[in-house]
Amino acid sequence: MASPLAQFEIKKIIELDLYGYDISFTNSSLAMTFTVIAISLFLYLGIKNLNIIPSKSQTLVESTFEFISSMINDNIGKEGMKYFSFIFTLFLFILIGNLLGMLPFSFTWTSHIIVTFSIAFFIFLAVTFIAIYRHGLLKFIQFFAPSGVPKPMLILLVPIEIISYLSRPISLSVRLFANMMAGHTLLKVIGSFVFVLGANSFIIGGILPLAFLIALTGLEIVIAFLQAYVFAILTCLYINDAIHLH
Amino acid sequence: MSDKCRKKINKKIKTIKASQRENKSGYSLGIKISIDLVAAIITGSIIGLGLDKFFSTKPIFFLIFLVLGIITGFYSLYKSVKNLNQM
Repeated sequence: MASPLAQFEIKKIIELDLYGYDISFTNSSLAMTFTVIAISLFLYLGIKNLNIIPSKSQTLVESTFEFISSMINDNIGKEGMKYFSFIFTLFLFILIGNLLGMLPFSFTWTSHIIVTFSIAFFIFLAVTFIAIYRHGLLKFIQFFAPSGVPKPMLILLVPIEIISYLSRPISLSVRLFANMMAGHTLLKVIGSFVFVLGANSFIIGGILPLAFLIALTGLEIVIAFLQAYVFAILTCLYINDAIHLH
Repeated sequence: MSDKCRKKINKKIKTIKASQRENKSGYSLGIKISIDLVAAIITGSIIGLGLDKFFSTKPIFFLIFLVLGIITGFYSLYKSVKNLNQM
């Protein structure tokens, strides 16, 4: 039987090479393409026929829009609406990626640390540039020295603040990656229990793990929503920090 | 209805809404705290190893920044637990 980690294997579909760099089209890229297509279809079908009394798909699109806009209003304020399109795209991309990964025979690209880390790292870079652009370099450096702290304490506190600032992309990416990877591995392990126990005890032994598997699938879908939400809300908080340096 | 009464009701609605917004599930809070702790330590050791490679002073910076990373991790843990109490 395949190992529980075999589902995370990257397979090349079309081999491409750019000056010695491997830029092959893999199953991960395919899953991302499907994600983009799914999002485009979801939004296009939702707003194709705009009515005052919305249809079901239009309601879904509108409530997603409202959800993100209220998230930005609560966490950043009015100035944050500039970044609406970015956060909306980010949220939908991760959410649909997580959900498409739940389909059988598909691939969960959010379960790869390099993908989540590159997203988180570019958010980190963008937030740093926003902070420097809006407040200047000097104010940005002062961000690492909290006010109202005695001077001798600053020797210890400044490195701590800098390390905690630099650890943001790591904690942001590891959170998403670890949740998706652990969840999918667990599903596969329990799934192999169903097969092995059921085959060795005339199906009876497989019933309990199957019930467990169904419950875990539900939990995994909840986690897919939760992690996309957490990723988006943390991005909001970081942008808020950049806009209102304190 | 008197103005005083209305003010009282509005205040109550506000506090209830605020408590609802901050009512996070324990699962996500646990994930947040644990990963913050680990991420700070990883960042500290990466910075230390990088500086060691740059100055070729093998263990010194690694040890300093590892300790700083551990302090940072527990400091952020302390901060999030402190916020928890204020709710």
